[in-house]
Amino acid sequence: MSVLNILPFASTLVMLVFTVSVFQRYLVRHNPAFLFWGIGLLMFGLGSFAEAYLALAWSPAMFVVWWLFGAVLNPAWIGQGTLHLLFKRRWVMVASLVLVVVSIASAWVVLAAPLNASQFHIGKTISEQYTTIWPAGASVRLLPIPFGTYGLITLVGGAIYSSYLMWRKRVLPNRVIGNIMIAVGALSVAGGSVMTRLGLGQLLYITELIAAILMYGGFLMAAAPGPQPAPVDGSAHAAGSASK
Amino acid sequence: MAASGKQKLDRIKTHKMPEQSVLYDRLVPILFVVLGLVTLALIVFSLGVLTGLIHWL
Repeated sequence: MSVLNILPFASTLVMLVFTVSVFQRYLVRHNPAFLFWGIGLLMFGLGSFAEAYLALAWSPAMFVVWWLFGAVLNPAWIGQGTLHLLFKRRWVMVASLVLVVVSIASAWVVLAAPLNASQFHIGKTISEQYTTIWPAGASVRLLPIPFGTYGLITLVGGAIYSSYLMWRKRVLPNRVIGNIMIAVGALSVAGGSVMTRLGLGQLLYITELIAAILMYGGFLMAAAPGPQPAPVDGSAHAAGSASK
Repeated sequence: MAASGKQKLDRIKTHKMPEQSVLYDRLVPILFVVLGLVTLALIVFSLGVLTGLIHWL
C-alpha cells in the first residue's frame, strides 16, 4: 500500500474526534447548528473511512458510501450548520428541510445508478479511478457540484463573513483566526475535488487531511475559553460561529 | 437580562485584538481578499458547469 493510501486513515481519525466533540456540544446546547455540523462531519469521516477501505479491497457498498457521503452530501450539511449559527430565521429551517429532502432523493439516485466494478484496481486511489466505475455521462457524476457549491457558499462564505465581523469590531481574535482556518480547510478540499476531476486524483487525500486538521484546529481555536458573544438580534452576530 | 447583556458586552470589549499587529492589520485583510476571490472563482466555475458553459462530464 502506498503512503497516499494511508492518509484517509489519518483523516478518519481526526474527523472522528472532531465529530464526537461537535455532537457533545449539541447534547449540551441543543443548537441545530451543531446537529448539522455533526452529521456533515460524520459524513466526511465516513467518506474518508470508505477511501481507506477501498485502498485494501473492493466493496460496492463502500464505493456508494464514499461517493454519497464523501463526495456529494457532506459540504452542504456542514454549511447548513454554519447557516444555523449565522441566522436564527425561519427560512433557515425551511432550507434545512429542503436539504433533507434533496439529500434523500440524491441517495436514491446514487443507490439506483449502475456500477462498473470490473474497472476497479487495488492499489490505485479511488479518486483516480471513480470516473471509470461510474458509467460515462451518468447523472450521478454531476451530483457533487450543486451540493458542493451550496457548501462553498454557506460554509466558506459563512466562515469568512463571521471572521470579518469580528475583525471589523477588533474583538475576539481567536475567532477571527479560527474561522479563517475553517475557510482555508474547506477551500482545500474543494480545490482537491476540482483537481481530482482534472486528473490529479492523488491530491485529494492530501487536501482532505489538510481540511480535517485545519477545520478541527479552527473549531478548537474559535471555541477556546474567552468572553461570550454579546446577545444577538437574530442575525449575523452569531459570528462566534463554531464556538457558540 | 439587560445588565447581563451589558456585562457580556463589557467582557468582549476587554478581549480585543492587539494594536499595531502585522497579523491582524496586514495579513488578515489580505487573507479575506484572497479567500473571497478563490471562493468566488470556484462558485463561478461550478455555475459554469451546472449551466453547461463548461464541459465537465
